[in-house]
Amino acid sequence: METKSKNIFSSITLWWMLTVIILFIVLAFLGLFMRTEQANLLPGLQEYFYSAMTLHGIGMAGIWYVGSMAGVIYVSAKYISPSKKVQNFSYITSVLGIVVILISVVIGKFAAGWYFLYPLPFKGTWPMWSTVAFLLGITILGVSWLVWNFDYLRAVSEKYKLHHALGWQYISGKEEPVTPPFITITTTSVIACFAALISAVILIIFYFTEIGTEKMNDALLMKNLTFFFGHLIVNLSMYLGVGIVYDVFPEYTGRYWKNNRAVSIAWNFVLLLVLFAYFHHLYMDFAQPVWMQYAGQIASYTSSIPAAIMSIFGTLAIVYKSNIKWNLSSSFMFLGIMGWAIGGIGAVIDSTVAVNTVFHNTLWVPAHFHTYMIAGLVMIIMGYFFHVVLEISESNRNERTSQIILGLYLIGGYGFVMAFYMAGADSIPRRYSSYGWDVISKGPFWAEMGLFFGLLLFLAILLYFIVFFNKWKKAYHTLQ
Amino acid sequence: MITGFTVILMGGVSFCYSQANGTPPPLDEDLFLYKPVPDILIDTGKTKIQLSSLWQERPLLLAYVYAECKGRCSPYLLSFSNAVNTIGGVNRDYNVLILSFDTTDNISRVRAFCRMAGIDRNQKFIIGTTNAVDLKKITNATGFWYKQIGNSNQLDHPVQITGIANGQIRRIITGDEVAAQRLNEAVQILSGYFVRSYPMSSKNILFRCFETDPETGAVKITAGAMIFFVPAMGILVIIFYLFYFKNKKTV
Repeated sequence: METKSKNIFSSITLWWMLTVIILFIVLAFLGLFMRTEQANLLPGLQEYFYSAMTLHGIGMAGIWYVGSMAGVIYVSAKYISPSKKVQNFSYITSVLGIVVILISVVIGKFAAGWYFLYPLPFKGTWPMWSTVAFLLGITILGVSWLVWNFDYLRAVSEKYKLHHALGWQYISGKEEPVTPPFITITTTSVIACFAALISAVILIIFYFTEIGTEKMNDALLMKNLTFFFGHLIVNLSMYLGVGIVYDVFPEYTGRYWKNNRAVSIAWNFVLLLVLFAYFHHLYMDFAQPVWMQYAGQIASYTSSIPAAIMSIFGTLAIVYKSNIKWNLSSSFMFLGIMGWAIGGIGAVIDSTVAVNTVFHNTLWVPAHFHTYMIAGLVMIIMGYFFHVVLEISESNRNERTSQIILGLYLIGGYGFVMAFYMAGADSIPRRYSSYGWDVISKGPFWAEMGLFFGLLLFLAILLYFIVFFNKWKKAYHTLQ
Repeated sequence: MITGFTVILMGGVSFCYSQANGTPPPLDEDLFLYKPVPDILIDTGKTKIQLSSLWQERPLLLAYVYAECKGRCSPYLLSFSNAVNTIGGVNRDYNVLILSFDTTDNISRVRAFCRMAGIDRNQKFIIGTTNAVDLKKITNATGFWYKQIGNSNQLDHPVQITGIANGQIRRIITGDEVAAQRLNEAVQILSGYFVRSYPMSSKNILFRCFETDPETGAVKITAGAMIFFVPAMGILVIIFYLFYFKNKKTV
C-alpha cells in the first residue's frame, strides 16, 4: 500500500520539483537584478525595478508554498490517500495562474508589489488590463490551492478523527491512537492555510467588485485581508516544510521522531494563534485599534516560538550521537531548520512594537524574511527535493559536489542576508529602486555587498540545479 | 448588475449636468500631488521675482483671488487669514502668496482688495500678479480654473490653497472655509512631517472596519469588521463537513 501510494505521486512530484527549481533560478536572477539596480550599477533600468520586485515576491511566495505542499502530498501517501486527479488539477491550474501573472507583470508592467496592497493596483502607471490580469492570476491560484487544501483535509478526515489528527490524545496524556507528528503539523497548517485562502478569495471579490461597480473599498479592511492571507501563506509554507523534515529526517538518523504532548501542544498553538499574528504587519496603521496591535505582538511570539523550539530541539536531539548519514539532502534539511531559528529571531524582533516603529520601512524587513526563506524554508525544500529524486532514482547518495554547493550556499546566503541586516541597522529604506541622496549613501554600498554574496548564492543554486537535474532525469527514466 | 447600472447611469447624469453648466467637477487632489509647479514670474509691485525663489526659501501656500471679485474671494480670504493667524509661522515656517488670476488686475488694486478682505499688512503675505502666459501655466499645473460670467466683469472660479514644497504640489485644500487644523496639517506635510489621515465614511465604500466619532474620537467597530470572521467561519464549516459529517472513521 505504501509503495503504491508513493508511486501514484512520484510523477507529479517530479514535475512540481522541476517547475519550482527552474522558476527559483529565474526569480533569484530577478533578485540579483534588483540589488544591482540598488547598487546604481544599472542606470536606465530603474523603471523595471518594481515589476521585478512584484514578480520576485509573488513568485517566491508562490513557488515555495507549492513546493512545500507538493512535498507534503508525496510524504502523506504513507499515511493517507489524497486524490491524484486533484494533484494534477493543482499543478495545471498553478502553472496557468503563473502564466497569467507573468503576462500581467512582463507585458503589462504591473508593479504593485507581491501583496498588491489596496489601492495601489488602481493607482499605478500600468494599464488597467494588467491589474485585471494579475487579479485573475491570483484568482486561479486561489481556487487551485483551495481545492488542493480541501482534498488534503478530506484525505486526513478519511483516516483520522479531527482531535486525533491534531494530537489531542497526547495532550490529554494518552499514547493511543498513534498520530505521526507529520499529520499533526500538516493538519494544523493546512487548516490555517485554508482560512488564508478564503481571505484571498474575499479580497479578490472586493477588487473585482470595485472594478465592476465603481464602489470603493475600505483600505484598512483590504490591508487586513491582504496580510491575513499573505502572512499566513508564507509562514505555513515553512510549517509544511518542517512537517516534511519531521517525517524524512529520521530516515537519515535512524531514530523515529515521535509525537508527544509537547509537540502537539506546540503545533496546536500554531493553529490557535497564527491567525492573529499578521496584525504585526499593521503596526503602522494608526486607525487599527490598539488592542489589535498588542494581540499582534503576543500572537507573533506565542505562535512561532513553541513550534520553533520544539522543532529545533527535536532536530538536535535526534541528530545528537546518531550515526546520521550526511549528504546534500540531510545537510540542507538540518541547516534549514537551524536557519529557521535565525530568521525567526529576526522576524520576532521585527514583530515587537517598539522595534517595528523604527525598523518597519528599513531593509531589516527584507533581511528577516530572506533569512527565513533562504536559510530556512528554501534549504529544507531543496534538501527534500534532492531526497525525493535520490529515492525515486535509487541513486548513490554521496555527491562529490555537495560540500561545494553547501559551502557556497551558506557563505552566499548568509552574506546576502547580512547585507540586508546591516543596511537595515543603517536605516536604509526598503523598496527603493536606487539610493541617490546623501542621507542614504550607504544604500549602494550594502547593495554591492548583497550583490557579491548574492552571486555566490546564485552559483550554488546553479550547481545544485545541475546535480539535481541529473538525478531528476534518472528518476524520470526510472518511472517510465 | 442593477447596482452597477444605476451607478453608471448616475455618474453619466452627473457628468452631463456639470458639462451643461460649464462647471468642471470638483478637484481630485490625487491627480496633482507631486506634480512639478512651473517657475513663473511674479510681479509684487516693488520687484519681480521667480516663484521658485519662494519655495526654495521655505514651503509655499498659494491662493488665488482677483480684485473685482464680489463673491467668494473676500470671505475665503478672511477665513484663510484667520487660519494663518491661528497657526502662525508665516515667513518663518512657510511663505504665503496671494496671486491674482485676472490679467487686467494691477498690483495696487489687488493689495487694496486683500486689505479690504481682512489681510493685515503685518501678516507678511506676498501679493502678486503675473502675465497671461504664466497664469495659464500655473493654473493648469495646480488644477485651478476660472470663467467669465456672461458679459460681466465677474469670474466663476473655485477656491483653493495649493501647498508647494521643493517645486512640487504636496497638498491642495479646497472649500470656502479654511479650518486652522487643516491648514496646519498642510504646513506639517509641506515641512516633511507625517500627518495621519483616514478617509471619511462614504456610502460608496463597500464595508468599513471602524468608524471614528468626530467629536469624541472614540473608535467603534462596525459591520465591515465582521468580514474578518468569514475565513474562520469558512474553515469551521469545512472541518465540520469533512470530519463530523462526511467521514466518521477512526484510526
